[in-house]
Amino acid sequence: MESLVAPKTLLTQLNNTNLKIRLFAIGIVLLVWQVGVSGLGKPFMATPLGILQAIPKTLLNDKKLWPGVFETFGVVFQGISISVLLGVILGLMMGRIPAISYAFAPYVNGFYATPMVAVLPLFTLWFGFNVSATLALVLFAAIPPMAVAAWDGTKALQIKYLEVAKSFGARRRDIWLGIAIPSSLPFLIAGFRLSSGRALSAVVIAEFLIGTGNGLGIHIMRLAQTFKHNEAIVALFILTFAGLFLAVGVESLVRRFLPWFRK
Amino acid sequence: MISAKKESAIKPILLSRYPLALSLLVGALIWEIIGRFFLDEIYFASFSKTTSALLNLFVTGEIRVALFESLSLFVSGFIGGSILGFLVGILIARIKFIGIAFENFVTLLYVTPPIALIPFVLTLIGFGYGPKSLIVGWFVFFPVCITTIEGARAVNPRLIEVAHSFRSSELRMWRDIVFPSVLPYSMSGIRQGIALGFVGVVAAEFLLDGSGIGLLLRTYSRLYETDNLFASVLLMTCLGLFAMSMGKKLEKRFSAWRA
Repeated sequence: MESLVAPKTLLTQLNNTNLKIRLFAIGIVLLVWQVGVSGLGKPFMATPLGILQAIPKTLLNDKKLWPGVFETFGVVFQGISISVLLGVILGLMMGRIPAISYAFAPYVNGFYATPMVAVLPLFTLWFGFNVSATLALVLFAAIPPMAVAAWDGTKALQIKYLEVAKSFGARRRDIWLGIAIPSSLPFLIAGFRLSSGRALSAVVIAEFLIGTGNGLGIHIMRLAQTFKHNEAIVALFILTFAGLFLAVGVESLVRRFLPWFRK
Repeated sequence: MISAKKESAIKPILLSRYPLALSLLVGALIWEIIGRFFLDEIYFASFSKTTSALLNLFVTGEIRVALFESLSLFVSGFIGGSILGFLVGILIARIKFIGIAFENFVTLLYVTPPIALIPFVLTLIGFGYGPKSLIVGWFVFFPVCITTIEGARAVNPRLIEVAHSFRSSELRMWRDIVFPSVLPYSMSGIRQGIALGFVGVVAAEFLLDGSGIGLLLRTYSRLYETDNLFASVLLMTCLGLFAMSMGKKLEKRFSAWRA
């Protein structure tokens, strides 16, 4: 549903080599930002120089940063792993068994369409204001796109190939490893990108609203609210890199090691 | 998926509709049984309690006011975000040096979870309708912008060449060649933007000054009015499904000419 953007453009964007114009533009933006804020802004606002100073300070001296990073990405990792597992199983079953697809389709679609923030009060009611509510929200956000992707993947399976394989006496294992998985892999990757992006958003919003705990999200919130915007932006960069890694990195790894995926 | 198409034959409707009804019926039954016999009322409202609470909320008008507040926030943010996203996307894709200069920034902001920027909006601009609709616009902007960039890059260069060699005016070229090939892409961005916009509305209403559905959800969960809470979540699900099907229709409508 969200961000189904072909990562190819993301990749070319990052690899393009018009370095001069690019550096020039970055320079202009940073200059305008620096001059604008120090001329017109309030003293607590973030500036490029301030951020530059805050980078070593925050990364090395901030005692709450790294525990927060571990806590948050621990939940993200856990949530994404469970979601991929459950989502793929559910999607494959929906693709192969009509009764299951009829039974589950309205619920998968319904949960997918529900804005994830709206169910958070329910989860805090059930699980309390702690990490398990965060994990629950991550699962709620990340399972449906994965299931839908796996489901679409099974639809893309070409009957022709199956028939050829069967008539040449392929074993069940060969059909799975040789045909089913490679042909649905692009869908699974797209689903992974969607659901990991949603998982990242879910963890941040859950931390903001739950308010207890020491995750990266709530750490950013506390820094921003105590008017330490430079430090907050440095912490925010970590989230950005995580998002970039999930959107681009995973995909380029797959492209590299699973070359048939190149279209 | 819920909206059955009128033009399709009767047989597929029969085949696809009854399983849906059956699945919803079984779901409601399980929901009712769990609510009635297994879980405490404080934590779980049964199906009948939820629906009666929903009716009640509509009768008292409580939810109508909230819905209106949330939807107006959504509309203002959505319109601003999608128009800006479209324009910026066109500029980045069609004007080369702007693209080279600013595409990196768009990409980096796009992969940052937009929710993480809410604390900054809060401390820089404060509370109120404006900041909230800014947040919604921020959520909508990026999917529209990124898909528009992709679409504007996918314009067939041959068509543009032909148009040039027949001395087409710039305006006509945009109208007849560029927009028709960009719009299908932008519409898929807009469909994503609709979904994200709803998340933005509720998040803004939670984290900035409370209003609309967001405030209702928070209040009900704090007061342990679980039936009302379930009713509001159910309403959000219906809204989301409705918005999703509208988005799909839009997308279909604007890609009808695509082979």
